[in-house]
Amino acid sequence: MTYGRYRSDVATLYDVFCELEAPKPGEKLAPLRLQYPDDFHDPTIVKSVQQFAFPCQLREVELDAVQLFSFVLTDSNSKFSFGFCRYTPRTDTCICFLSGFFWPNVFFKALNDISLVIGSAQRADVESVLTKFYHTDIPNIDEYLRFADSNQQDGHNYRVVFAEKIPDHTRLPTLSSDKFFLEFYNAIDPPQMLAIFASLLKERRILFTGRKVSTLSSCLHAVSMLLYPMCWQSVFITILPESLIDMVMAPMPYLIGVPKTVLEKARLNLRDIGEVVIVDIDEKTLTSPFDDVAAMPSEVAAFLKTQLRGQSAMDDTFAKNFLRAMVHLFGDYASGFTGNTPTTMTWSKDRFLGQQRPQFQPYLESLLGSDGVQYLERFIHDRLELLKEGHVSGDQFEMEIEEMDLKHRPIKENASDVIGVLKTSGIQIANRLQRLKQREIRKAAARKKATQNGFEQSPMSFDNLQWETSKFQKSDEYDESPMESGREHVPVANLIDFDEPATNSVTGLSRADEQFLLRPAEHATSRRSPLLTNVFADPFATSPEGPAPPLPSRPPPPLHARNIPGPSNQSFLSEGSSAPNLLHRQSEHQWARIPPNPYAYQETSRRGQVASSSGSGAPDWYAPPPPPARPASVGPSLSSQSTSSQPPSLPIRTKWETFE
Amino acid sequence: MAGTRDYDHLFKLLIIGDSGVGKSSLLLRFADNTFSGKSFLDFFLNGPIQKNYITTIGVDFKIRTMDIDGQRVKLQIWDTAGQERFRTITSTYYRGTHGVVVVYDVTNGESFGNVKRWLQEIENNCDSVQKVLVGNKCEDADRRVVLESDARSYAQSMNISFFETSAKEDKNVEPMFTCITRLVLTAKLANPSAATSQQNRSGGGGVSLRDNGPNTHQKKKCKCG
Repeated sequence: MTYGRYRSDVATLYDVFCELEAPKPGEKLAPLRLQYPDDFHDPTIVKSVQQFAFPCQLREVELDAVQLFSFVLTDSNSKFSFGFCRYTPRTDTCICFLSGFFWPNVFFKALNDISLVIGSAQRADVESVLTKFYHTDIPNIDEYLRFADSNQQDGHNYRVVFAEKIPDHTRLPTLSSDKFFLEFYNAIDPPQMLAIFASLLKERRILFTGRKVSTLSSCLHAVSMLLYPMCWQSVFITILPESLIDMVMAPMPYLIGVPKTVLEKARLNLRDIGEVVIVDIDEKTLTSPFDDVAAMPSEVAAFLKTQLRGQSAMDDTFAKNFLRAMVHLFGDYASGFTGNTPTTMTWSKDRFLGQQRPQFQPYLESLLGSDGVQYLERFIHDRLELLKEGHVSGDQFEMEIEEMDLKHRPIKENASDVIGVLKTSGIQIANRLQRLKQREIRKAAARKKATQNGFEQSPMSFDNLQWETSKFQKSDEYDESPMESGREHVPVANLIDFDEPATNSVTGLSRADEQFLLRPAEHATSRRSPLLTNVFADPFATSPEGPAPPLPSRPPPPLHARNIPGPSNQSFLSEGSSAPNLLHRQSEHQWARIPPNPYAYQETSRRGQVASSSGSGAPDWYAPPPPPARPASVGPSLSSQSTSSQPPSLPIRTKWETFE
Repeated sequence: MAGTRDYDHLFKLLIIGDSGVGKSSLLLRFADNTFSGKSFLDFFLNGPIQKNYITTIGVDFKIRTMDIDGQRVKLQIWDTAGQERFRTITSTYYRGTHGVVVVYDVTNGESFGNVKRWLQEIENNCDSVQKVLVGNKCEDADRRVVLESDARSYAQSMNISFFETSAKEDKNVEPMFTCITRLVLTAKLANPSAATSQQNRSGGGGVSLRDNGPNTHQKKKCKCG
């Protein structure tokens, strides 16, 4: 959910790092041991970190195991910053990164490694690692963030090397790779999941509580994502510190996680809190003054019930169940659009409701009226804005809509094929242009920042590594692009800039470390501890012969795509068209998948061919700038998604159809 | 938040309006009887006051206890960040509240336009919520663009109370909050089981989460596992 509320002003990998001691009883703020950068501009934010990194006396909660948890801060524009925390019971300290990027795997990995440095090396070493990490160039979505720093001379003794993939939040999370979703799946039973989802749709005030802060914060993050492609618009607090407990009295919709100890101590008056849904993770109970499940259209509830009970696959099926429920409820939103030209286009609630099935109408009507929910208002508003600019989103939601359409209307008219072609090629082009554009912007920003900081050298960069992907794009159907020709022969090693800014002068980056960064997977299997092996499922490490998964890459969320002129400022809507979703432009989302059923697969390949031919013919609405020298890494994602993008196996389909 | 109550009623009010219209100044004036000149200056120099106000979790509130006709009323006035991004503030936002203070800036026509849209939504979908329309910064006569008469006739057409206030010069702030409190109180006394009086539906006082007290039976409890 959170992607719609990401900050757009992120210039560095993280805003601030803090090491904190447990607060003494009665102390509101945890004492700071270390802060980097020590001149961080906003002291109130540091104070918040001191509050949120120790939301309660963590030692009372957990004596043995390290806890990784995450809190969320909201700024005055309602945008999020994410705090990633690692609490060590042995020392009763907590280390924390605050960042505008929602990249849990990256920051938790970094925290683990830095905790080792803190444990074994000197303070200067810790600062060296932090400095270097701070100045690490920000990778694109789906690329790897590679980091290395070590010093084993003259009494120093540390070595940090890791590579983590930047997650793409427009893809559905999988249980195997998303910590938050997995913890949610493990902690909550299906009946409560359904009830939570139903209350989420009704935009209730929902309070979660549990003893372990890690499970608690994970559940909150996961729950907020269930609304995809829509965004929770109201109050969102994954972990509420003791000092802010009064906030549970807030009258507006909220998602708040309150550590059990905080809730017990507060002895809140339920009457003062008001009507609230309470989910107790430890007791596995959900208490609610409402029966939101009964209010849902019964087919959707029945579908989710069946699916969630049978859920066991570790891929994205779990998330997809919720997506399908969303498609069923709101998938026909486009029928509410009226108006002949993009500028006069509006969305009519009555028109939309009039075309819905009778059993859905009362529910949808309440969500649009007496129980009007903000996430839906925002979603329609955003899609309308897109449409007015002449585009339509091509996210997973839209793909699912198409897929279900295909099932309902197996034989598409010729016109639909044309639409499909335009969609595919439009998105493809938009992807390329946007990525180029955004990257340039960011580079400029980084350069500016470096000069401000007094660095004459450019910041550390593994940037160039991305060119390597081009080698492995052969299987990509969009690979007709000539863009990356000429770059293929550049040896990888030359592309890594190990000439570092001042901070790195003492680094003894061993030959082995360099190797490790270049070929982490091989390295890990051959030399490193088994712990590292599965961390680096690195496409760069595979041999050129092995078809590595094409990596659809997307600009990072901070730079909002909509601010960037796409390739298609002209109106795409042909006169008299009845289909507003003629063309897709990638805005926040990635169109990068072949529709799952075999029928659709053929269709798409056919579209792909037409698209490439029409691409070379250069339709007049496509006036390409000089081709960006970047790999066209747009393509069907076959990697982690592959299981889900397979033609759905018969049982699943049957279930789906019974749901119909 | 201890179990014992030192008030007869707890009312939750919302204050809504664009950033920079002076919501936080009104709250400061009402709850602490102060005015933060610095942040006001900040507003002219650097933009909305809100910047210095709601920073950590996007929501905050001020408390004050008032005495209305011998009844002790505890007021919580809640404010959230970033409302101006919504074309319409949908009705779930108002569901848990008793009253809404809708603020615009008399020197900012756009803020008045937004307010009209939001009020329309409240009118259409949340008819049981009490509301008051407030034009703030009325001390700034030179920069005024929203005429008092216009706003007043609009308020009349919507059948709601209207005030022009100055948080800076402490003009009309107290009467305005007294008015909305009185409206809420009257509504509650007239219709104790009204849907907005959430307190009447959620059961008695002093219930902590782990209690299996007499109130839990009102709730649907699904124990799973």
